[in-house]
Amino acid sequence: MQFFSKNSLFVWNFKLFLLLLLFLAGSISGQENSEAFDYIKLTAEITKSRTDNFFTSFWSIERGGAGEIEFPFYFGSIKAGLMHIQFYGRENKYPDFGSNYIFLGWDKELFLPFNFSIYAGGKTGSFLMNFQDKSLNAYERNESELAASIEGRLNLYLTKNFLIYFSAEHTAIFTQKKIEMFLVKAGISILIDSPYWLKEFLN
Amino acid sequence: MKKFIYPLLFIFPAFSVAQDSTLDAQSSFRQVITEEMIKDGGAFTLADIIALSDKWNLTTIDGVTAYLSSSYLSLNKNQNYTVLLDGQPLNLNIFDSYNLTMIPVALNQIDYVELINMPQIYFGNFTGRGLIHIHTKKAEKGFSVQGMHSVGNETGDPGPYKFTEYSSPNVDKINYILSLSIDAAGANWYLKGGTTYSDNFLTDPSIKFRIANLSTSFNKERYSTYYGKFGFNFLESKNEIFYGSSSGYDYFFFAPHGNEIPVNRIYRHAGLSGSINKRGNLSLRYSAVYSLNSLKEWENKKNIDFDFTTENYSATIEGKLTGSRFNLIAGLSYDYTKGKPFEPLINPDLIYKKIYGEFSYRLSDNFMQSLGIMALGSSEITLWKGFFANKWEVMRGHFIESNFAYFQNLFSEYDSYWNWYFRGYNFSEAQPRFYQFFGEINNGSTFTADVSYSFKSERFKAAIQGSWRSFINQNIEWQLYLYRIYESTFYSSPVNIFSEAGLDVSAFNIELEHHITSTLSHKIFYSFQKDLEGSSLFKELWKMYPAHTITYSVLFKPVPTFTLWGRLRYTSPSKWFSYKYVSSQSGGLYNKEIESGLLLDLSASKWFWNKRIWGSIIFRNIFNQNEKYHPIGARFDLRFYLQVHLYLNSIFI
Repeated sequence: MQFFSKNSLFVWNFKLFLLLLLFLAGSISGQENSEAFDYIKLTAEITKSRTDNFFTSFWSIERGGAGEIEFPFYFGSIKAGLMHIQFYGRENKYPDFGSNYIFLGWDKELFLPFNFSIYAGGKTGSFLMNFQDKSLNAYERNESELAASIEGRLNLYLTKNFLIYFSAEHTAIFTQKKIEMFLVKAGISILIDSPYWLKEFLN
Repeated sequence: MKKFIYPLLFIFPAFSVAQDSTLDAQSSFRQVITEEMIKDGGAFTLADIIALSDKWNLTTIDGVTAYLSSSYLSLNKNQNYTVLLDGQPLNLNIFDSYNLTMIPVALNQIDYVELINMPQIYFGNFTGRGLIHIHTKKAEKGFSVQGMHSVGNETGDPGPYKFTEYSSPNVDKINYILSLSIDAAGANWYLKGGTTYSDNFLTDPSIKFRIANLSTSFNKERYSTYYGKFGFNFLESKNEIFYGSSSGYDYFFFAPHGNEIPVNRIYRHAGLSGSINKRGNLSLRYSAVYSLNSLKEWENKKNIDFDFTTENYSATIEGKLTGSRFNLIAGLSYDYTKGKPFEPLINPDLIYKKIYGEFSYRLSDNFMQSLGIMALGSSEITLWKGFFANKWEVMRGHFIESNFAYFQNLFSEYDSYWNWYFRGYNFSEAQPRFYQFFGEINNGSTFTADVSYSFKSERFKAAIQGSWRSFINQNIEWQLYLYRIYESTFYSSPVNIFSEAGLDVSAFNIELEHHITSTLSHKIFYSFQKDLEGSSLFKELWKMYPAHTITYSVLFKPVPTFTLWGRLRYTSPSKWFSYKYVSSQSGGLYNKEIESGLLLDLSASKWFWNKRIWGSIIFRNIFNQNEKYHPIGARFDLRFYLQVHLYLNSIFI
């Protein structure tokens, strides 16, 4: 009987499991100050890969960008978003592809002195890949796979409703041979009040 | 004196439980899975719902067709449990296969599922192999529209590596389901209608190449179902007319053949059922159903085709007399099945007449007993089935229950291939099958005994149950599967059918549930079973059941509109005797032993828009263990599903 040995996915999955436990623990620890869905946090960011592994011997990971919409939840915050990254093949036989990572996530923010805060969270979703080689058949041009990420951020609130941040993210795409990416990111977020109808809908 | 009499009565074999009593509300032998539990548990197929019950064992080859067995009441290759939909029997079993996907109902239409895990009498059925009763929601006043969509994805795609030397087979989307239904209801009537489409790709290497040997399509199974329902109240009665139609194209695993055969399944159902409200203390329940169940040809490379249809007519009427301390139920049931293959059968008709009665008596405020007896008559013989059950509330919240049953079964009562073979049906294939019969085919019997103690308080529930099964004079079917590596298929030694096989089995389970707070609860279930005395072959076949199963689940509901659920499940290894040589023959692709596994499933679900939209995300097998349920079945890797339900109820009133 071998539960976890020889199973490369297990370690990553266990991280995901721990994050979910954190999610549960965070939820039990107490309620947030803000009511659920009280405000909307809109985020835009740019990403740069700091990945050097087996995958990058086939494709280079270019700069990308992401947009997120986030709401305070019953505990922590939840978010949805899309991240686009372009990949270039290192040889002609490896086609270039663009990726769109559509995700749902959860995070927890801890406020620090001097308008700083740190934030830890995770997200998961579908990693859609579009291969840009016209010689390929239509059914060969698209692939999708489950992806999951963990992320840490350092936020600086410039005003009550506007912040900038730097973050580091580790993403795994659960293809047969797993793809891992380490990304550094910088972004801005603005906070606006949720309209009443949206709060009603989400609650 | 009573103190001594009641325990004595308790240990004598033979009694059950009155229906409408506070004692009956607590039953260890009956489970109800509500819509809320279905949603919390991340279920999106009927098989998923049954899997939420720890007392049902589930195996599957393709992840769609489930082989189910309740409380060790049979080998799970014998799919002889009973299924009812709103009180009407669904005759979907064909050649020991019951495909729940063919049931014409959408998941979001289910109000609750009732599972009977013990041999008892249930509206004209003796539940000797368990019973599943699906209750759908009542239509709300006015006009309503509901919809459902779900889709899943199994990890393990090649991704960009498909353009490299590290390419691997593609894994397609799974469990795509789309459903739409409409309701309209007035004060004394309602009308419901709906349709569901589902498909599933079989891309796992364990089955993909075997299927490709016959299939001309792309390993895609698909099903569509339609239903319409009209209910009306008339005088003192409530009545419902139901019509359902299902069609499926799938890969039917036909055990005598050893492989999947592409088939077109067709099911039609028309039924009338209802109840007449109590006049004084008397009530009546009835159902009358016509159904057609077919396995037809789906184009394949070698013209290995089924062409078999059964038509079934059944009717049940049941009366209930309720007294202050007793219930008396009496009923009659008629069941006629006609086998209709392309070539007429020698003896196509199966007719069963049933007469049954159940008497439940409350000896005191805290002690009840029930005795039920059913006589089943066929053209050849009359058989008897009976049970006796007790329920004793020893002190407030503490219950001791028992259920003892003895029942005989006709060989023809369960819809196996061999039943129809004896009546002249011979499955068409290029190579004829070889069969060997050892002994006279006969009518077997089963004795079951179950005793449970349970305790229930506001925050804590505990139950412990011991079970005994004696299978007497059974006919068991066995064949040795061998692997043809050059075409990735199985062939078998002659199919051997042994009569007079017997086996004694004991089982034990314990369940503890604790509500830590009003929003957080957890539950652990442990089950152990062991085969004892019996025929050596029966003992070997019984090892298909794992000896130990442990399930731990956590439910967290911080607000009524949001739920997190997790389940960790361990099963010990199981051995499948018929596949004892496949490991060496297949180069390790298959194995007779299914390894133990530790499976973690998680789901998060949320209601939106004042409970009009419900969404859920489900992760299964998060630790990416070797999740397998059958030696030649698919391995289910980490996978995730999304599910959305829409409820636009009472739009116009």
